[in-house]
Amino acid sequence: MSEVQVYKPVLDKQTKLVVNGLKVYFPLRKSFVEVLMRKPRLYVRAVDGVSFDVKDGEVFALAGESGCGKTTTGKAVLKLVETTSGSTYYLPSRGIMESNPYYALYKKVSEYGHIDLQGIPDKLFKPLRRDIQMIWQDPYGSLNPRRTIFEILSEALEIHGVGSTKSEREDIVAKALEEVKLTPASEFMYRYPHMLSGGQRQRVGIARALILKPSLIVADEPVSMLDVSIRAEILQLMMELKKIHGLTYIFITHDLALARYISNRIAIMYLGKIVELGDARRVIENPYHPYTKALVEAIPEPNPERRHVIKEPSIKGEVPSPINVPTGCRFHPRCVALDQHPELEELCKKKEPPLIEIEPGRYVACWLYTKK
Amino acid sequence: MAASIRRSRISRISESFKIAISEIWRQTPGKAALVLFILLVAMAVIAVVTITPDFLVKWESASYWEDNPVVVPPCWVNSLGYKTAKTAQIYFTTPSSMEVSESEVRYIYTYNYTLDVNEAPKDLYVKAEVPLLCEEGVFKAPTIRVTVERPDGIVVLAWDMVIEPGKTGENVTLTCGSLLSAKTSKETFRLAEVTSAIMDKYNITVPTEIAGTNETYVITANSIMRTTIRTELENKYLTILSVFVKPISYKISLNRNTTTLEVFSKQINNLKTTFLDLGINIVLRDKIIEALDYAANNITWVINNINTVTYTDYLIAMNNAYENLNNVNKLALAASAPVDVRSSVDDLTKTLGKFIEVATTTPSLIQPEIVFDVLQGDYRVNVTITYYGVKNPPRALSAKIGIIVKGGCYGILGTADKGVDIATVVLYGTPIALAIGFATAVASVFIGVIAGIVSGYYGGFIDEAIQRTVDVLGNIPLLPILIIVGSVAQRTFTGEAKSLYIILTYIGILIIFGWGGTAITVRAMTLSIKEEPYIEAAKALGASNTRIIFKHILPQVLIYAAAVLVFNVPGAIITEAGLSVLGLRHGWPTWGSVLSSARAENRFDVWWWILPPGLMLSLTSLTFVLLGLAIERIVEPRLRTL
Ligand SMILES: Nc1ncnc2c1ncn2[C@@H]1O[C@H](COP(=O)(O)OP(=O)(O)O)[C@@H](O)[C@H]1O
Ligand code: SF4
Ligand SMILES: [Mg+2]
Repeated sequence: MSEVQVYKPVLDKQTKLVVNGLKVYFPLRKSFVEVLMRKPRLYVRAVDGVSFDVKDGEVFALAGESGCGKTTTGKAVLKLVETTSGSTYYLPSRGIMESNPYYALYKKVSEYGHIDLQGIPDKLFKPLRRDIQMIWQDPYGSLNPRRTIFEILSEALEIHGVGSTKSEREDIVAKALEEVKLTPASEFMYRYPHMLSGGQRQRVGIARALILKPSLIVADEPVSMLDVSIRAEILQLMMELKKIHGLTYIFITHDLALARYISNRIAIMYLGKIVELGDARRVIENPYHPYTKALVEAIPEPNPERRHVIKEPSIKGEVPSPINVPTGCRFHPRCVALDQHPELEELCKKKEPPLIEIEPGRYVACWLYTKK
Repeated sequence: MAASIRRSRISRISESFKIAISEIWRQTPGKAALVLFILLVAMAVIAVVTITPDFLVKWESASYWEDNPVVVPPCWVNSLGYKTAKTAQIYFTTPSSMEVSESEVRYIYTYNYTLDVNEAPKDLYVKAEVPLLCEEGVFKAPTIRVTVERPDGIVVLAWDMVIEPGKTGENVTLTCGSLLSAKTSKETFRLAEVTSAIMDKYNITVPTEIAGTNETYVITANSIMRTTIRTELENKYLTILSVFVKPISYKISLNRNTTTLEVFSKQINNLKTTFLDLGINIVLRDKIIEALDYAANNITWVINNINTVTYTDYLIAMNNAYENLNNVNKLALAASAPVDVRSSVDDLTKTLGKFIEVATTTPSLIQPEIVFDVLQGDYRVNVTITYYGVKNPPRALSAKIGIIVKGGCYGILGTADKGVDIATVVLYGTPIALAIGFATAVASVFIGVIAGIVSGYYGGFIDEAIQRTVDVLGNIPLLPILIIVGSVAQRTFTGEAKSLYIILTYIGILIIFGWGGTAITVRAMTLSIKEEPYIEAAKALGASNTRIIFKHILPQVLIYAAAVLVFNVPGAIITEAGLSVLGLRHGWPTWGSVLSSARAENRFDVWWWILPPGLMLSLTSLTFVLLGLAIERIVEPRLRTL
């Protein structure tokens, strides 16, 4: 019997980003009584040891129920939340690095030029922000209602000193708007967000993410708050832009059907941890982890003839709070596979299953597949 | 294409300002607020443009307002049924007429004052600034004559004096002919002449059935009458009244009380008994008895005819009695009567002499009663400036003549003590009030906004420190602090800028204690804005904290701050007024100081002294509260449906 292969992110020439053992804990504020009683501080373990790598030019999906820590993972990559531990290595696009005056100061962690993002101060990270951008889930809240579309888009230009005059910036903004098909750009430029539809707003959100010409984009459920009818347009636009600009996407979604359609690889998260990782099609068409299976079964059946078939529920109970993460396998209170394999109970409840390779390129964290 | 739509920042700001104004104007309270606010600002602008630099210092000195009547209502009260004489302050720079003769040149300034109510003016005087005319190196000083020609034709000479040249060549400035001060300078205003003229004009004499026919006694009786009336005018009324009154009825009577006469007659009879019992020379004794009988008979005659006796006959009889008693005195000495008897005769004689003297100099017998009333009609005040021996008199004399008649009403808001013109002080109080209000509101809102944003945005220790400071400040009672610091400030500051420093102290304390509320609200706003997704989006773009604060948080906080600022303006104004009324005065002409002087003089009954500053305070508060409500409705769209 060969040694089990525990997952380790690959850091090679094609790797755009490596996330290694990322933990993000949010401390809970203690009440006055709790301070008096010297209770230990509690944490929301939003991300609790996540590792993955993202290849240059791919669409990497992060999927899972809401609250499992997808957004927090994405924000951690952009250094918008403080990480508790773990590291992120990033390979900046060549264009960005050439014009970066601090280039020599960065700590390189590979021969290809990967930079350790967690270790660098804000000042050094600011030039890198041009290269890593985010598309936000909420097209309503993420645009300041008191600023015009021009002001919203040119803010990034002002921050990074792109375009020296207002008319130069107007040209750049107009181009960005045309790219996301908000035409005529001169008309949209001086509108306020409330004068736009949800789809148009999300286009503005995409334009804002793209205006600095980044190479990695974290797209946090970019269509989940839009009408179903316009979701396809927006996704198509994103794919088009990816092709034009050679972008890499970390695509956060809770919609597995969408993930299969759009992404190359997928990581399934549960309560702050990746439980399954692999090629998107293979994972979704042939899930291994009991949680992934439950998610896949919950995908609405596209064939109407089979919709009336009532399936066995493949999951039980509710998602536990990330403050009190269950011991052992954090999925065990909800796992139906465990009921069928009572012999695993001891193990599942006591010991956390590692993410191991069970097929080439397929990784699962479940004792079911771990040969002892 | 883009450029054509581009608008400059300034035009966008002015546009949003225009939108805000029209939003306010669309609401009824907003409309009222804007109208009131424009009025206030207009008043402030007029005040700032017209105020003289010394007003702030001199407005409380009596000499600044010396030409105003003291504590009189505004003149429009006459249309409400009040009866007040109007006030005139007329200044001439050119004479009304000029008379030239060989030896002298007269410049005459004339003013017609119409008295149409039953109240006499309180004073009338002339303020003159006259030049010395220089001819052949000699300065000629003029005489100034002030006369008042009454509607009934009587001309009252109020002033007639040669000017003493002061320093050579300089104009001489003086106040002449004040009827009010005539009481203390009788040589200039001859009251006796006025009363005499009035008596003559209205034929007021002691009637013959009272006075009798003896010329001397008739003159005496009339002189007593006039003196009495004059004294009465002097004591009972202000002297000036005599210039503006006429008699409407009079009664002159003779004192017909006989008690004193009966005492005299009894004492004479007593003397008679004493002498009859004395063993003195018989001839002398008979003569004495005879004289005593004569004396007694004269007095008895008066007693018997007391109801018909005239002043003449009364005094002749009394004089007879006196002569006879004098005789008795001499005879008793000749008869070597005992000393005690002689001294009682002497006492009686002297008492009777005194009685006669009193009867001829005081109104003990002649008792006039006159009822005067105000003489209405046109009074002509003439000021005549005469230069003697001037060969080439100038056509235009460079004199400044002011004719002042202090009536019973003044201006549009009346006067307070010292003649302070309430309208002027209320007007000049406006910019001061607005300055106090705005300075306090702007500064405390400014501090509150900064503290609130810093507190909410950065959190942690600085947040804790700011919030605890706000708690502490909020729990200190403001009024006692203001009173203590205010009275210390009054004692500490001296010199020219004292008032300014005291007011700045008040403002400072109000600011220190005034920013907490704003800070708490702004902190809450900042906390909620900070969590907006678009803030995180800006951070993802690389926006610095400064940028987020200035571009995303501040613009939203500022609209709220504008409403708070407007709400805060009246607070400081009213606090200043309150402190002034409590006696913590600073010395500037504010609405509070007008109220404060009313309190100091204990004249809360004088409505025109209390209402204007009180109404200005209320109206200003109303203005800013309405404005604040209107702004709040714009800022807070949830309130718009109200
Ligand atoms: N700033 C924060 N402070 C405390 N808890 C947080 C914060 N952000 C997220 N969380 C918690 O962390 C967990 C993961 O959240 P999130 O990453 O938004 O999940 P997802 O995007 O997968 O829905 C949730 O339980 C959420 O309540
Ligand atoms: S490790 Fe055990 S509890 Fe966890 S998913 Fe696998 S079988 Fe279920
Ligand atoms: Mg999320």
